[in-house]
Amino acid sequence: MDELEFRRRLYANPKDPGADIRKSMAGHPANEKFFNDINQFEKRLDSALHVSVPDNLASNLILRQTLDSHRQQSKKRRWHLAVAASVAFAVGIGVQYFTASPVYSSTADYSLAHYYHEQGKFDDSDGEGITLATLNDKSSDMNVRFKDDIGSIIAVKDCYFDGMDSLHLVIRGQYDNVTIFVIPKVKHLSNTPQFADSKVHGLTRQFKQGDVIILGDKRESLGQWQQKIDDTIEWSI
Amino acid sequence: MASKQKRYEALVNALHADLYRYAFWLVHDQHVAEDLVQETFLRAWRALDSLKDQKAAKSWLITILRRENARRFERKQLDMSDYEEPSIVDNVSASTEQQLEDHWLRERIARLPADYREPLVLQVIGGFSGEEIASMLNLNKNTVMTRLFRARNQLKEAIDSEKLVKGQSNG
Repeated sequence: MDELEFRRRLYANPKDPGADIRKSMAGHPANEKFFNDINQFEKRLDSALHVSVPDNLASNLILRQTLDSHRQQSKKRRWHLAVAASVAFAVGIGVQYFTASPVYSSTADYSLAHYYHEQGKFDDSDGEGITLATLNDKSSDMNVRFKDDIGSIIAVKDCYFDGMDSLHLVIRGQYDNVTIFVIPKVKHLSNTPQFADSKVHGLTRQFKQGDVIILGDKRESLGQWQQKIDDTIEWSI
Repeated sequence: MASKQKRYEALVNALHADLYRYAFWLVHDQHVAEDLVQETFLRAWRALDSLKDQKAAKSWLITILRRENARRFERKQLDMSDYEEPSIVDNVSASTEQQLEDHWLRERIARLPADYREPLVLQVIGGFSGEEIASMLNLNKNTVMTRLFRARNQLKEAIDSEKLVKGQSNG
């Protein structure tokens, strides 16, 4: 290695560990002196480049990171909370919507749905011992009483008729049970005087204080039931 | 989570000083350098999972810092002229001969062209090889070695001429 190359190599990297560097120094005092000089210079350079580092830099870095990740976590927490609140709100609105809003557009639709929902739940043997007094006790909530027996009662109960308090009567008919609803005056459902589907027909009897809906098997003569109701029902208000 | 925290703290403790010095020689301003290091470590924390090779940590951090510095320039392009005349602020009062010497040499280092200074800092402070520096700075190795040679050569010449001046005035 010539002298120029030797110097170039050491200037580029005074710690050059190359064997050829060592070799070039052996028996060449000038090269060896240069090597020592440049390494002396390197010590000065090293010292100058190692500027002092601000106190507490390391702890500040860790502190800043801790604060940052805390902030990110609380941001995340806030975000989760916001999502949870939104979901809860949406569920609340949804529940409100489904329970309070009318799904049925008419008393006829609702009556049929209610009828089929409870179909088969009543047995002919039920209702033993339901007297006119029991019926009138139940029906007083609706401000209704019956002057006389209206038939053989299988069941009488308070019912929700699309969210409204109502009276639900099941009476033994000629072919099948006849269902009678006594409901308050409704605004959100339209009234159909007569209605039917493939199996069941019904009629709505409108009174000033409320409506009476009568449903039964298609073969059933609902007119006679309507007549019976008309004859016996009394509205207290 | 706890182990990530531990890794981060280990990284900070092991490398913050070298990273700060590198930043300082990049920008010649203690406060800007400190900000850069803060920003770099914060980014490093967020991306810590992507650091698989612990040995590569230092060059990884330096890469983040260089990118961060480039962003700083993009943000304040108008301020760029402020950095044309590097000024080395250091406490020289109540200093030993060694400190005076360091101070003198620091001013010379600051006056080196940035292209020469950066490989030098990476070599001396970072302990990186010519190949490593070349890949970090997107240069070929010969270019890096030439710049390292020129950097030392210029500094050595400055020292020698200073000695000459001193020698003349003393003699």
